[in-house]
Amino acid sequence: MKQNQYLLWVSLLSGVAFLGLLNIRLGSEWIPWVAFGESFIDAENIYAPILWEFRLPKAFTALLVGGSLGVSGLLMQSLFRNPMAGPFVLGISSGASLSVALMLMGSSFLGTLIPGNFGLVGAAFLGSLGVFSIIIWASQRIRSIMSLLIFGLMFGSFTGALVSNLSFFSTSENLQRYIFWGLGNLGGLNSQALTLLGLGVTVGLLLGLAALKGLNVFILGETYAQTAGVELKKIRLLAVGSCCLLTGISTAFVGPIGFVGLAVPHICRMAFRTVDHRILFPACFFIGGGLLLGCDIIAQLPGSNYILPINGVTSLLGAPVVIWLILKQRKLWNNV
Amino acid sequence: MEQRLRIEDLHIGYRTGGNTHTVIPNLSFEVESGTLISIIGRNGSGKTTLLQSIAQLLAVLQGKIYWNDTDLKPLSTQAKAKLISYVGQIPNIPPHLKLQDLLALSRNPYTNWLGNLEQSDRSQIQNVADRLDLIPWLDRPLVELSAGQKQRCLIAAALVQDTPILLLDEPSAFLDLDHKASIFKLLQEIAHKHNKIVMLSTHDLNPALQISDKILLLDRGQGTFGSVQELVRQKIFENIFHQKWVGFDPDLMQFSICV
Repeated sequence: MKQNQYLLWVSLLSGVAFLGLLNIRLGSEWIPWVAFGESFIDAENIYAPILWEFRLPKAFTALLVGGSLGVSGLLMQSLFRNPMAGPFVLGISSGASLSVALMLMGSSFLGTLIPGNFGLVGAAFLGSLGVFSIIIWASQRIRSIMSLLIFGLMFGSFTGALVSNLSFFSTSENLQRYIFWGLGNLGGLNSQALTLLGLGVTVGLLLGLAALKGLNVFILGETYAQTAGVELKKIRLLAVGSCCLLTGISTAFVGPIGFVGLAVPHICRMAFRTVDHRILFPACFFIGGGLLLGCDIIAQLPGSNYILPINGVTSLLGAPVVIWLILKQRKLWNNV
Repeated sequence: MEQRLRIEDLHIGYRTGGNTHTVIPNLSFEVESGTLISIIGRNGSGKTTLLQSIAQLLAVLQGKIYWNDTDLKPLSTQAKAKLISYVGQIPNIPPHLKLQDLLALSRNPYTNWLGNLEQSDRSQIQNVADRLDLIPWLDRPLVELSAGQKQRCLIAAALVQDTPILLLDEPSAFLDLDHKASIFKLLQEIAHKHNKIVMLSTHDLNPALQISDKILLLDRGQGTFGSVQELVRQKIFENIFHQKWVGFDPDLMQFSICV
């Protein structure tokens, strides 16, 4: 059993490393192995600028964002004790979208809300923070988990409608900017942005780490957790804060990435056959990161001149996974 | 030294919004360690409300709960979890959770920030599993066990939590007679041999009268506390249920259905 887990970890980590290397080498230009190695030490190499300015930042972004969404999904599924919870389903991404839409397309009648380079990032973060607060507020009043999901879905449609109305009155240029943001883009982060993303993810992960012990007890229900000495409010706040930061900052920098947050925790639980968050937490980070690296490789359509939007790929892969999960739902309700 | 749980002028019930719904006003009693107390009463008489209030799951409306001379209310969640363990309804158990995982989680008030077990935690788990004959089940997923076996595991978890007070909400519900008997026997043993306060609510009146040291009868907003004999002498059992349906025989100390 223990042996088995070591094997899983070794294959998981080497899988992520392999995907990372493949991801870095792939692109409009396939970097040969020798040049790839040389570029790391020799700044004069012709591939060095591509490597350092485009490929490496993009791979790191994929790892951080995929990992964040995976962990975020895990925390939310445990917090709500619901296998269908995730950043996407509960409307957190919708909140970010609405906020970004307001900023990009609502400026004609709202004025520019947040000026500056990090306007998009700040708007998306505030949007997800807002939705998450509403969800937590609602979750304390709505006892039924199904109602809460419907709440999230309704909120999603509501923001969708608002965005539609905004886009109707928007200039085509702003509309295009919004649509491109919505398709997701892992590239384009400069070192400053990458640092900020890394910092946000680190803080988010630390908050999540502090909630792990409580979440482990939480899977047996609130009553049990409370009498076993878990401070529910503290755990809720830590987990929510962590999710919000991880999802918010990821969505802010790369756009709303669907399905990773929902699917990754299930993959982890099935692979590691455990509900122990001390194992699932790092597993979700690396499987999430690996998945997004892999999706990005597919998005490059190796051998062709086309590049697919990242969100198109994750959803293409993710939707069948979700359908499969729904079909297995009877077992699933017990899975969290 | 005898340790005691003291309930003083307790008013229990629910607060929703601005409304207060009092289930039982003015309840006072005192129990010493080594006592098995059964809370009995009709549906809706406040058994669960009382247990949850003592477990600090529900805020009390008025009054105090003392452990020796310590007021429980201002204690931290962790400190409370070292004093009181609570076995409620069998929770929804995730498929991969094994008995040993459950027992490890019950060490929560004692473990570090990650919940890693120390040697003392492991030996506590081992001891309890040994005492309750659960060693062969340690490595088995809980979902595979029957309701009676799950109940036994939850009691084991409460013992692993190592508290002087154990509260159990209808531990014998949904069990066959065999399992009811074994659970009651086990709880009596825990109270007497391990010198703990075991307080349970139940609808299994006859076994409760048979094994309990004290009875707390909740009826129409009133609590009557005493030993079985005392309550029989007060002729109080005759009036709990509709006399057309349920009779009580004070000599046999048994309830029976009127046919």
